[in-house]
Amino acid sequence: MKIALCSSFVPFIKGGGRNIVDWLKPVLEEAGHEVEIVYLPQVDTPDLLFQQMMAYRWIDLERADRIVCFRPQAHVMHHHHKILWFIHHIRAFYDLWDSPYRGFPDDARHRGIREALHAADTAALREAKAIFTNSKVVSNRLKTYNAVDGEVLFPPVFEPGRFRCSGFNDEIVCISRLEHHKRQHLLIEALGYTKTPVRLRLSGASSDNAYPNELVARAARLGLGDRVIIGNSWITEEEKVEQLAACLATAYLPLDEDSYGYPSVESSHASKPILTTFDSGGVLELVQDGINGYVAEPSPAAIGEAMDRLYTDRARTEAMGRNARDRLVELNISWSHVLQRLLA
Amino acid sequence: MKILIVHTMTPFQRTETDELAARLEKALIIAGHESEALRIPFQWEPADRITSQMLMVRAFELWNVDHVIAMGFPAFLIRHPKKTLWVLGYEHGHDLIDGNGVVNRPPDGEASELRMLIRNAENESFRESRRILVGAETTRQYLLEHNQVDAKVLVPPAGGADSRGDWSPIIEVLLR
Amino acid sequence: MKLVIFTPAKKVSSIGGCCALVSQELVAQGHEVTIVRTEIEGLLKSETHHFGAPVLPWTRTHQVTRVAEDADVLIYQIGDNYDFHKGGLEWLAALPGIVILHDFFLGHLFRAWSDSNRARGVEIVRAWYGEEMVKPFLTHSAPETFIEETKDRAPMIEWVCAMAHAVITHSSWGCERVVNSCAGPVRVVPLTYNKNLGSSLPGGMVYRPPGEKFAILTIGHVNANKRVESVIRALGTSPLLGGHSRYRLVGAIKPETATALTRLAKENGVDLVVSGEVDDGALLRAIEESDVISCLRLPSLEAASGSLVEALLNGKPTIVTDTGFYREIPSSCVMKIRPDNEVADIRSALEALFSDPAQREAMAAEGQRWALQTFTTENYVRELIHTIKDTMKTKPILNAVTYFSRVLAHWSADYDATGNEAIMEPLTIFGSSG
Repeated sequence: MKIALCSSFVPFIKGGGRNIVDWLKPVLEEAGHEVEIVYLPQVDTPDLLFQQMMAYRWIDLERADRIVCFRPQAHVMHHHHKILWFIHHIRAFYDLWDSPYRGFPDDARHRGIREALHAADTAALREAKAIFTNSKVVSNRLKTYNAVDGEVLFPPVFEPGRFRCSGFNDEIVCISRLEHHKRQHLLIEALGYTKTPVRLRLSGASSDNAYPNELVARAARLGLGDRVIIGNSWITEEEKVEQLAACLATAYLPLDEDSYGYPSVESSHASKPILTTFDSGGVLELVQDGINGYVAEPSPAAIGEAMDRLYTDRARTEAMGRNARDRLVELNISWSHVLQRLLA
Repeated sequence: MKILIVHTMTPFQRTETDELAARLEKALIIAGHESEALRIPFQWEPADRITSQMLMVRAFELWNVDHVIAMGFPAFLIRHPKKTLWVLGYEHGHDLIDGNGVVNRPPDGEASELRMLIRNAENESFRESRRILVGAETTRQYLLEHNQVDAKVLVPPAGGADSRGDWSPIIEVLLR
Repeated sequence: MKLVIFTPAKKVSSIGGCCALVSQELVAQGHEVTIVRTEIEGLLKSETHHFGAPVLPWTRTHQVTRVAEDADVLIYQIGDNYDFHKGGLEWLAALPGIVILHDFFLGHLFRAWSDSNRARGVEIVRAWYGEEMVKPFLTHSAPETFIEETKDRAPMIEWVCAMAHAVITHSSWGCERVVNSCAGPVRVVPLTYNKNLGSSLPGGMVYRPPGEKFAILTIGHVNANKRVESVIRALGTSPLLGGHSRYRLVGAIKPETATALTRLAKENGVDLVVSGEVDDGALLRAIEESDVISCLRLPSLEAASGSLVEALLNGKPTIVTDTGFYREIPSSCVMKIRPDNEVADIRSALEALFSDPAQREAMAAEGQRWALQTFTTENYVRELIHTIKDTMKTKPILNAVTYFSRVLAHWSADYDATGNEAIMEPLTIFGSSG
């Protein structure tokens, strides 16, 4: 079958929105399909939304037997067999309207754009032969705002077979971009509250140096010394596999994230429990407190206490690691399941 | 510098342009730039979809891009303040819809209307580009005759992108 | 919301009067309103209605531009009178907005405007109606002839509606041309009227001493379209009414018209009183003293009739022509006169009303009740806000369409995108405006 994977992008910015597309391609090819990836530009400027949406409507992919669309505005594309793997709305006009992230005034003009966008999105969603989402959070939003159902299809990670467990050292690792909303600062503060010699390693690049510098300064202020390693650079996939294989547990506590986040799935593949917080959004669809990780209150003291427990109660930590791996099966997080659903 | 290569692609078909764009992308990265390709699906057939696809390209918004190198119609209609055109092996729109050896021929009246539309769009894009480069003397002659544009010939280097020596003068011209 | 309303503001403008009610209500609901008055230069100093909002003349370009740029929405009151709407037209062309259309015929407005925009005017008529309709607009024929020549085939509604982001009008009979020319939403909203105008007596019935004549009244500028002649003929042929009725005309009238009508009344033995133009107090008294109000109109070109609403609100039995806006009034509220059987219908209607005071009273009460609940400012403002919201929702789509039209116009002067299915068909998900 000829399958086009369609999404939008901002040139030179990599991220989760591209992984789901790029990782699906080889899997489909291996299954014998011809795959074309179509990334087209999209900016969220309110006054330019509709001309861009119309442009997406004119893309001619009739040569494809079906198209799978990911990031907006790819979902508005016009095709006789359109499948959506919907990963988010243009959130400023949806769930982030009443938040500081809106970025434009709440006035009659923007309300008009919001109304028009909701109507167009709903119409575009209804054209799809099937709608999948990357999380329950996103499915719930589709239901709330567009009155359509989306089946949760958790995106697996790239070549999950690479990940393994070689033991449990003293280190909790957090492999993720160093960004304020990923809240690595909470982990550093928490380490200041621990009573055991548990250690922390932050691995990931940042869009600028302000946040990493702040993290370093914070660690110094708390006198954490070599108990924390802040690596402000992108680590290779091999390094990632090694760090996950050897660590005690992983931590991933973004603020209200849409999906469970690749770091927590990778951690599960390496049979390592995940430390998160109850306000981390989609991560909680994967992590169950005391079963495959800890769900702490988002305060340094509570997180520090959970870090100590991971360190002290090794037997439980290891058991939770095994559960983490089982949880992937339970949630059907696998490429074979993805193919089966997308090609149904 | 963040350099976006914008080119036309035929879905499920690997063309020479794809190859060349990939080589250029690699060469630009070797030369110390960030580079990525924007591949825009486009087909000449059926003819009545040409206009909507031209409008589509014109409506795309580029952000986070310092320089655009655009290859081929209608990819070079994309809007960007720093745009260099590199027209290679261009199957010229005028010819195609004229029916010169090509099957895609709309009814006569529409053909001339469409031809005029394409030519005006090309000219608009030529006017707003910093430089217009072509891959061969024949293309230069063609643009001179049909669009009254005097392009410079810039022949892409043969072989792989790994040889820095081959590409550096080309990149120097493309980014000038 | 911040609204700028372009309207005639002069005291005698009934559009201005409606607009004042709307403006006051909007302000009471917490909206910010600025009035830009639109009369021709010579009338801009006249006394205005009370809008409860600042009033600017349309000629103050900088100030108007500033408030318009700051506003959420621009609203234009448009009727068929150039002296009142000149400024509205000028600004509508520059800064489009929502049009409130008061007439389904804008020929006079257009003809006066095109006096100083001749070439453009000819182009507009030709584009909407074809070459053969150009002539009536160039030759200055008499008003009746001009209306007759143009009302059906070139009413010039499209010219204004095509400039509008949305149109509100007050009855549906003329809407087809509106819908065909305005790319945005079109909404029919009953006119608003000041219900406090009503008479002091319940049901509007006035105690009439025995022996007093049956009083019939026609209000407004006396033109042929008010059918005064037909009323006189009907009274003249009715033995029942002949000696027992008095017919009064209140409103501006040309001396020659007054003479002709007086002569006709005399010939028909009808007691006719021509009062001419009177002030508001005298008008109200005239309404109060009447037994029946004649709101006949033929041809009928307005989207709604202020005098009919006024008659109904005052609890007066009313006869209307069965056409246009009047046809849309419930039959229990008025008596409808068929245009093709006019004199006979008027006669039997008036006779029935004369001889059956109970029916007269019941119809008037029903008309008043209906008018009170229909022509309310609250309803008008609610519908206006709905229309604004609808317009705001359509606008981003129209803006995008405009963007592409401009791109295409750059590429080809006469390319017709609407004929290209590959362009249009995918856009249908954006609604009818796509």
